[in-house]
Amino acid sequence: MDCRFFREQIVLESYDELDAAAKKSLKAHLQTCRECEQFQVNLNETQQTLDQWEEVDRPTDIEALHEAIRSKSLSWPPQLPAWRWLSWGVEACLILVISLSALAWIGVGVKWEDRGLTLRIGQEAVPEITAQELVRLLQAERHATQAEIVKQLQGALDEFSEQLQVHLDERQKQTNAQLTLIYQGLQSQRVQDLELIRQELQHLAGATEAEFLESHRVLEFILASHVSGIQKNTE
Amino acid sequence: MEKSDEALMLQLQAGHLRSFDTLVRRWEKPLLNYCYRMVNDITLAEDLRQDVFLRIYRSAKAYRPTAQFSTWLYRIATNLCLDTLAKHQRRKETPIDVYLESESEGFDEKLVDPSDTPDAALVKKETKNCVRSALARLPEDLRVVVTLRHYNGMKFREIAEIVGGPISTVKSRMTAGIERLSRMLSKQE
Ligand SMILES: [Zn+2]
Repeated sequence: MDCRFFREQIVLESYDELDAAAKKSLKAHLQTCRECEQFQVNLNETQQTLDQWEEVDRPTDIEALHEAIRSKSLSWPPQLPAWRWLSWGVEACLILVISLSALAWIGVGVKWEDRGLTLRIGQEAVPEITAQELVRLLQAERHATQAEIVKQLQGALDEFSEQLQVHLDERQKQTNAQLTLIYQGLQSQRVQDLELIRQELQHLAGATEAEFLESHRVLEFILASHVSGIQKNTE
Repeated sequence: MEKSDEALMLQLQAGHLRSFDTLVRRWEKPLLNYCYRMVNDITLAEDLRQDVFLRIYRSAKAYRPTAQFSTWLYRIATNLCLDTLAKHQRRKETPIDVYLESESEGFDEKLVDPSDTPDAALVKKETKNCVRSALARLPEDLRVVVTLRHYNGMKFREIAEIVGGPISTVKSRMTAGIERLSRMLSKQE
């Protein structure tokens, strides 16, 4: 084998990307070839010189980035993924379920209740962060700068966000399990009882009877189309 | 426990915006340095970094965790850097290393280790400028490979995925790139 080949091996070895056998044959060549040995020395020097261009650290202006996203009219937050592998009927059902679930999730917000301002996740209030606490926080920080108060509030929001994420993760698990059931039911045609699916979906979406009624007509149409689609296919 | 990039992308997909910010914070430094070494202009590199993040955001909807996030990120960055370099060459016909002198001195000063003696600091700065100039003169296909491997620690297998070519080509480009740099840098010393 020629030196050209071994030069490449020398480079690979210097980045720790050479296997043991190749290392062994390279070592043997280096013992007999002064030119390649010199190449290895030069390579080390070059690499050390390259390291003189150290990394720079300029943090991203996150606010400017968010602003750029808004100004380019990119939706914020991003859309939910499309469920391309499902047939359109089931896909439509899933989208409906997801939008209803999203409705429940939109329940997240700041609300005045008897005990004051409360941040809510879905149906469950989060008692940890109340108006009193926010006020106490602000009072304690009365002599603080506005930036500091904002920072404190940001901390509270971060904590809330963490809790929300745990909730969403849990919700996602439930959703996946229930969607699988529904999907399997539709696929196997074992579940043909629209009422059963309706109850399942309503429960899944965490919607009230009234909220669900409006969507029900749409759902019925979608399911009916889907069932007739299955029947046509099996005829 | 720290979440993987892929897990954060899936959370972003589900609308969890903080995941995007976490990804930005995690990747801002290596990404900036990659773009900087590719285009040799820090301001341009910052713009490119923002563009990469915008594209990541825009593509979140279609993201599938089939490939490593890092290779995807660097593929976007590489394409944007190469496009930018092509545009500059068409517009100005000026080699990109004219930027060397145009950058603010204050920025470079920050890179100097305060423990260095004045002489050592000067030598370090000069060496750094030599490296910048040598890398800028390297053909782009070699520069991509050298930068990703030497500075960003990507494996040859990953670089092959990023540039979309066989791993053998990546390895021979690395060798050719290092050989050329070695010649350019030894001449300057
Ligand atoms: Zn040899």
